[in-house]
Amino acid sequence: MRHLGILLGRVSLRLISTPDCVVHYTEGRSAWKSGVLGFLSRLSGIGLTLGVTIALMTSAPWWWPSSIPDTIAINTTAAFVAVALVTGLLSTGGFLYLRRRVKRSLEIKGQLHELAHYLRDHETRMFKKAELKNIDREEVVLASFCEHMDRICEYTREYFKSLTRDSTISCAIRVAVEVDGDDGGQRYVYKTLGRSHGLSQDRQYTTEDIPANRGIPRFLHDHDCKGILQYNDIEAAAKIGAFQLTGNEEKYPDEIVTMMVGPTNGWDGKRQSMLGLLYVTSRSERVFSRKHVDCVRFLADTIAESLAFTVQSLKNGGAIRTIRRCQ
Amino acid sequence: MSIVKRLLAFSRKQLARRSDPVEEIVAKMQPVDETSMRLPRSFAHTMRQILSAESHNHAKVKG
Repeated sequence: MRHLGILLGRVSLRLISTPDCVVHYTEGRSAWKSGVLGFLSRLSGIGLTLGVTIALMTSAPWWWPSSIPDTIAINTTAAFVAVALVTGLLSTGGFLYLRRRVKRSLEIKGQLHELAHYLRDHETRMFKKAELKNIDREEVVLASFCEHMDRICEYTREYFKSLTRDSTISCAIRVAVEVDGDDGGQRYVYKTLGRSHGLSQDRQYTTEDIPANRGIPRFLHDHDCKGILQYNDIEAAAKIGAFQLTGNEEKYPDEIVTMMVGPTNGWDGKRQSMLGLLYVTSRSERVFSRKHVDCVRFLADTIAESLAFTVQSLKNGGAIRTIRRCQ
Repeated sequence: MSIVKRLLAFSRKQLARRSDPVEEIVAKMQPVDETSMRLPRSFAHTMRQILSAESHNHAKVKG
C-alpha cells in the first residue's frame, strides 16, 4: 500500500506541478528508477503488479457486475478471427516499435563514433604537424582553434538530436581565457568559442564573457567541478541567481528554452581543473531529464581531453610562435 | 483530502532527495575573489595567446 501511495502521489504531483527551474545532478545512473515507469520497473513495482494479478485471479472482484452470466456460448470462427487480429496487430506494433528503437540506437552509436573519429583524426593531424619543421600558413588557418570547437559542437548536436528525438537541439562550448582586468591585473573568464547550427551566428557580436567567480562557473567550482546543471526555466533560474542573463538571452529569447550544462575538466598544464563548459540546449520544453546526465558527462570529458591535448600541443610544439611567424 | 495532501508532501520529499537544492545553495553563496579560486590559469593564459595569434592571422588572411 505504501508503494501504491507513492505511485499515486507521484502521478498527481506530476500532473499539478512544474519541475524546478534548475536542478544539479551528480550522476544519472539511477535515472531508470524515476517516474511511474521507473516505479513499475523496480522489483517492488514488479512484485506489486504480480501480487495484484494473483489477487485478481483468485475470484471475481467485488465490483464485478452480477448481471454477467458465468458461461456464454461463442462463435469459434469469430473468436479465432478476433484472436488472430489482436495478435497480428500487437505483433505488427511490436515490430514497428522494435524497428524504430533499433534504428535510433544504431544512429546514436554511429553519432558517437563520428565524434570519436573526428577527434582521433584531429589529434593525428596535430601529431603530424609537430613532426613538420615548416608549417605552411594555409594549414595553420585550417587548423583554427575556433573551427575545431565548432566542429565538436556540430557532432555533439547530432548526437543529442538522435538521443532526444528533438530537432531543435544546439550546442555551445565556453573555454577559460585570461583577460585584462580593470585594475591592470589578470582576470579569468569563460568565453564562447564554439557554436553549432541552430544558434544564430550573430550571437558572436553580442556574446558576453562569464567571469569565473559568477554564475555557472562559480556554482560548479563550489561543487568540485562535478555534476550537471539542468535548466528547465532560465528566467526563473536567473531570478534566484543560478544563471547570469546576457544580451543574447534578451536578443534571442526563443533559441534556448531548456539546457544542460556540464564542466569540461582536464589537464590545464599543472593539474586538473575546469577548462570549459559544455552547453546542450533546446528550443523545446521538457527535453532533458536525469537519464541524459551521464551522456553530457561523457561528452564533456571527451571534449575536455581533446581541449587539453590541443592547447598543450600548441603550447609545447611552438605552434603559437609558428602562427605568429606566418603573419 | 488529508491523504492526498500527505501523499503530495511525501512525493515532494522523494523528488527533492534525488537532486541538490540549487536554490538554497545559490542563496548561501558569498562573493568570492578569483585569486582564491582553483582556476586553470596556465591553460587560460595559453588560450589567450592562441586567440590573439588566431585573430591576427585571420585578419591578415581576410585583408
